[in-house]
Amino acid sequence: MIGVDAPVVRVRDARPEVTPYGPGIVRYSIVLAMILVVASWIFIIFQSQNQGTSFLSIDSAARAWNFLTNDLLGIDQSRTPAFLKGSVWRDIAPLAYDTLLMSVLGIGFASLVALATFIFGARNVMTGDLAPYGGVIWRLLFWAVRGLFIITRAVPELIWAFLIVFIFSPGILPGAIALAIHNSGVLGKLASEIVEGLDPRPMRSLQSAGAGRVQVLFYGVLPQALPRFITFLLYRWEVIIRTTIVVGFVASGGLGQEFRLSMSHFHYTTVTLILIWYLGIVVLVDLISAGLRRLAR
Amino acid sequence: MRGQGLRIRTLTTVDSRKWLTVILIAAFGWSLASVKWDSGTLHTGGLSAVGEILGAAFTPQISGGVLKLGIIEAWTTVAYAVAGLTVALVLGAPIGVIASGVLARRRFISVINVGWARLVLAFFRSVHELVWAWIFIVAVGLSPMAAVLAIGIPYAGILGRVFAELLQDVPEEPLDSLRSAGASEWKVFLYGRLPMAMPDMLSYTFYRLECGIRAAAVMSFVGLGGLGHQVQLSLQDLDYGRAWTFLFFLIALVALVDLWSSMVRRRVSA
Amino acid sequence: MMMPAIRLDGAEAKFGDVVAVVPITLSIATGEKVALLGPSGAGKTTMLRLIGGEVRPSSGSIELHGRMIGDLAPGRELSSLVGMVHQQFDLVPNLSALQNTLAGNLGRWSLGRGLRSLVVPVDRHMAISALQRVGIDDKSAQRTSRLSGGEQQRVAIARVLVQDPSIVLADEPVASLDPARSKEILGALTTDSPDQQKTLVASMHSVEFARDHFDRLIGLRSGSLVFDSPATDVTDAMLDELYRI
Repeated sequence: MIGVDAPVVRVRDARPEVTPYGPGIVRYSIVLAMILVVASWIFIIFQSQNQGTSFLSIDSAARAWNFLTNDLLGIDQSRTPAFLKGSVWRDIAPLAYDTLLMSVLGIGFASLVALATFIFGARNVMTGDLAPYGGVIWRLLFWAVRGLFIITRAVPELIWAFLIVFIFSPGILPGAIALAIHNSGVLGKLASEIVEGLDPRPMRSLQSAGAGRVQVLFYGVLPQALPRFITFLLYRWEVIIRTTIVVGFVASGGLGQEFRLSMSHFHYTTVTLILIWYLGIVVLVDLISAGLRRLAR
Repeated sequence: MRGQGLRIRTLTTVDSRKWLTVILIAAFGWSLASVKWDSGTLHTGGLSAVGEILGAAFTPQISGGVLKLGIIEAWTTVAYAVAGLTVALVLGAPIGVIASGVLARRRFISVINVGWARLVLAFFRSVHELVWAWIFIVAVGLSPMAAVLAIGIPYAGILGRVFAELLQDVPEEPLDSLRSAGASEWKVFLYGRLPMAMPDMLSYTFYRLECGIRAAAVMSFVGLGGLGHQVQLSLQDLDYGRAWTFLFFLIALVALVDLWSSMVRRRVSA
Repeated sequence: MMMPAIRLDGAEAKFGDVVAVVPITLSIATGEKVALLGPSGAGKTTMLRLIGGEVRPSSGSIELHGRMIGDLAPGRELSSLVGMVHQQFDLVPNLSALQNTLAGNLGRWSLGRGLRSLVVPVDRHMAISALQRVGIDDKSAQRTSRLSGGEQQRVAIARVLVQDPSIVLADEPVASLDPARSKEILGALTTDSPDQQKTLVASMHSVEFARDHFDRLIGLRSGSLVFDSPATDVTDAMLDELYRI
């Protein structure tokens, strides 16, 4: 199984003899990739020089070191660093709890949307092998759902949050919804691809036994697809918990909000403490996810 | 006897899956119950904002100036993503190979190397790229290099871990066959592991490029350019139509990368 | 007497508690062509892997050209003495047939040369001539996974030809080939150069073919020796006994 994120979904090719694209595609792709890399770096270096600050220099290394020791770790400061005060630890604790809550809420909504739509995004069930006489309506539905997956997935959580704050009052909910919109596209696409990769024989034999679409879904698709979907879901949670703090910058909930405030008030030792809490819940979620994935096996 | 053993095993997996479902639903229920659902949940006028935002998606601004700006900002976003991904590959691939432990000859040294490599990778990827970017910018100053490193470091952690697992997961038989032809572990790596893991490594790298474009788009939040910057500016002016124009640029970029990756993947994995 | 190419002295293979090959003592002379016969699960593959140094004997010893197998450095030294064609071919699916064949050189090549050859094939003529001898030089640029079973088998044999060990071990080397082609391949495996005869030990499922083309037949059943005699002396009765249900 693959790590942290969406696993590599192996494309199962029904006809390995047929290659849809000639060998040229690989050659062109390598050339294109090289051009992109060179052009990007030229652009970045050019832009950095315009900016004035040289990022990779002894001077900036000294500044970074100073920031780390003096500001973040609070060495040489007269005040006690925030991360050595029990009271501040207690103040941050509920925010860490809120962050955890926001991530669960977000992935919960995302799963509901993905579960309600993924079957319409699976090519084999909607328009392919398993639906030889599929009508125009099913075809349209397929493209609509796929389009929705692309749109929600292409826009990152933070930008969704920019939009969502026009609708919801600040708190956990807008953050969770921003997380949910992006991740419903991610999970929906993944789930559809699981269905496309399923062994078609059980489904076909159900069909020939007279089962309709819904029966095929419940007897042929879900039993095979759900366990893998849940595994992906848990992997995805590991990614989402890392993003929750970022969504909180905008949606004003959990650790993210406090991080933003502490940064703008130059309370860097509080920033350190928030980062400690952040790493703590990231590790906690990684452990819980690993444990639950064992249950799914 | 054998059949009985089998039945007991399937029973326990079904049981554990039931428990898992219960746990997941309970967790979601707990999170739902913790939200205060009342009239204050929505902004006053929040509902009409929904209509305006969604409606604007069908009337994006498509004047020449906006489109030109969109192209420039899209390129900035791509450049950050590509440069970040090169950092991630240069940094993550070697550490990933070490973390996979496939080259080590002596057990003791291998355990130590695998240990530190995994720890480094875990540390890299534990913090979100935007958090890295913010810290870099506060520490050193505003520069595109901050975005490149901020994307490069966590992505190195992720690529390294995934590469390590892919290199470990290749079938053993062809490797044994190379060993019996006299290949050392390094040569087994070059001629067996790497070619066999390459299609999956490639397709994961493509996936990461797609993620990198999204990550680059939100670097605007810490003061850098890119598509996210224009979305933010448009929203400050409450110009939803303009915001959607730039969002559609972002969507097109991601869709293009997706298309490119699926073309290459189909060719390579066939 | 000349030093034997292979000498098994009470060699036994156990996997956990399961005995795959009971202690066997025998010698095989240089240049001899030996076929291992027997029903599936008789221990033919395990015996080949014992001789090839892929399985360590749980007791007893194995010598190749007078040297204990455990004393031979894995890699360069062992691979110059003994090479093996596996039954599942075990090729790297996404390398070209040419690269898979050239991999027979890996025991000789330095790491740098191996790396270079992945970009621009080194000693190309060597691989092409090996592929020519098994009759698929026209497929050299093809990705190995796109070749048929029989073609892959021939690539695996071409690799051993490039490796050029003095002892060739082969697990069902002609299983997916037609009889005419089989004869040709077997010839390629053994008559490498006129002055130096290779030793060949191969497991075979086709008794007729083994009788016609090998010098000596060894019958294995449940891991123990049933017979070991010149091919001409093997009678139908002996074979019936070997394969009886």
